[in-house]
Amino acid sequence: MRRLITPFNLVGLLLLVASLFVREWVSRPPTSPTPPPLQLELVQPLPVTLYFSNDKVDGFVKENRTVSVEGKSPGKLAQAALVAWARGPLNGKGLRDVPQGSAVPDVWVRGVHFYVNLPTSYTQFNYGVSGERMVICSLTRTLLEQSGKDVLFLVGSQSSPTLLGHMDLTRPYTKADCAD
Amino acid sequence: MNLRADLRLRAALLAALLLLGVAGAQYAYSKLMLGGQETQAIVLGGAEYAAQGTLSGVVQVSRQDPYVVVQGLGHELILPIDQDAERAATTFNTVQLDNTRLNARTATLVNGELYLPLDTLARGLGADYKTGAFSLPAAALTNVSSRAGKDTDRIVLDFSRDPQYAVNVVGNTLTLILKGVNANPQTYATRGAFVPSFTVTSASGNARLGLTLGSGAGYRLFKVVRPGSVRLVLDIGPGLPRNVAALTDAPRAPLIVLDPAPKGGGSLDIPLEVARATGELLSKSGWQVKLTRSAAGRLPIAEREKLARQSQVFVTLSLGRFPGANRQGITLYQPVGEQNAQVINAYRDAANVSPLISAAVGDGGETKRLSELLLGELGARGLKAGAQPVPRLYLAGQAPHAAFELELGWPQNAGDLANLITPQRTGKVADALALSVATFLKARAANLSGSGQ
Repeated sequence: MRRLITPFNLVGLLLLVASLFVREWVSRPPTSPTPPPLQLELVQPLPVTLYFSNDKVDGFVKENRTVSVEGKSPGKLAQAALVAWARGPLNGKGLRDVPQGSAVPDVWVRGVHFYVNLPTSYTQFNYGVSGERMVICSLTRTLLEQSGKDVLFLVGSQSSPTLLGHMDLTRPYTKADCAD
Repeated sequence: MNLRADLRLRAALLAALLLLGVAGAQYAYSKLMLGGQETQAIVLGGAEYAAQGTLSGVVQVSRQDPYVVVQGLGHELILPIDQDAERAATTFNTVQLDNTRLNARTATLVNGELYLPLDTLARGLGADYKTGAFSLPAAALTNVSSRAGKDTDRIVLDFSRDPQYAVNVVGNTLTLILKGVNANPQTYATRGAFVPSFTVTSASGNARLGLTLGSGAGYRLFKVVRPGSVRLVLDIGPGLPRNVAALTDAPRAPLIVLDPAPKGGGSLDIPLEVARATGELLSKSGWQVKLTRSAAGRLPIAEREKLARQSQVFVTLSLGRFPGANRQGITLYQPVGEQNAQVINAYRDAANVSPLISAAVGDGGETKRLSELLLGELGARGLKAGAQPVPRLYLAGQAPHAAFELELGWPQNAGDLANLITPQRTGKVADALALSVATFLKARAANLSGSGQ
């Protein structure tokens, strides 16, 4: 009669047990990840300087305003400034650059460059050259007031040579392009 | 003993051969005055040779093994290249000077570089040469003659040697520039119907022949090279096609583009009314005018850009509008700063390089001159207008010549609106604009061509 307990059989048995254990271990359902704790950024008031047109549409009127910004990222601060810009001046000195109720342009920040997406509704404004320049330049001056180098404008999320046919949008605007 | 003698003999032979080899390649450097500039030559077999690179400023040397062809001063020489420098420096070689074959020194290679004998070159080119000095004969206009023809008139210019020349046609003036040519300034009269007279002037070492091309007249210029003289023949007349660069003809048929902005609200289309009235006045006077908008609609922006680039005068006509603005009157917006078309920036300040450049891209003063004319004309009609410089105007930034935007008024202002809608006001603005554009273009054409249209 052959022996049952041999070294070979013992090794085989150990391998069988080990493989069963591994099979059972890999078949276990993964543990559910725990969601990260929700951290709401602090909404805080920050000062911004907004630019509007004077009543002759040939110069700017500055207005200092405090806007509520969630966090301190430049993108959120710029977007908050544009929301305030679209609402128009509050102290009654300047003229709003876009009609009341107009959509607010979107803005992104990449390093020192601002990218502003003007809504397609802005192409219906029918302004003259002074009006179009005022829209472009009041936005540029508002965004570049604190930091940044230039502002590139898109129209309806696409690059466009001009907004109303008067001003050149092919290159970014700097403060020097919008001097008083 | 015999072996020692044999060795001595061999050593002596070897030394003699070495000495012969060294002697064969021997040459000495010498100073050479070539066309007034000091340079270097080598002396081979008692004759001076100059390298191909040294001569390249004087003549065109092209190596076509086993020959070298030398062209210049109205002559063509063909010299065989003899790799044996000693043999090349003898006068037993056959060379071809224009149509004549004769025995003279020929070209050779020294250390792989091509050298040419100066005495042979001087003989073939008609230059003055003595050891150490190779001077070119002064190019001079030796004779001027003309002949009247049925369809063309002919002017014949004889020179002492082949001159460098260039033709420049701007507007209706043809200028033949003869570089480095001595000529007596004189006005010549001909019996021809197409070129009754022409002038030869001399300035800064160059001679210039100037004449006026008649209406529809073309020209043809060709050179006749003969041994000892070179002749330029200029035919002018309506029998020849006017194959001049389109750019040079641009001032003769300038394109005026009027770009009326959309009318916006209101029943009257004031920008279009003014553009039409201006265009009509200019067209009646023979000017070429295009409008970018009709009652049916406005051209796409790409088409307007194209017209702006082709224009000599580009004017956008618009109305001022802005919510709540308290403004009135006419404003002229002049583009300032860099243009958005980079080609214009590149050539704007390069007008002195070629007259063609100023025909293609005007200097920044064109807009200013036209603006001043227009403001003056408006003022003369009792219309007060202001000027405002604006950077980054789009279509005006594409225009290579005079371009601006004219804001005709502010309809939201009651006073302005009352004026704007009157036909008298439209007529006055159109008159002023048409007159100033025509005056500007006439002056510009006269400046570019040196004569009136």
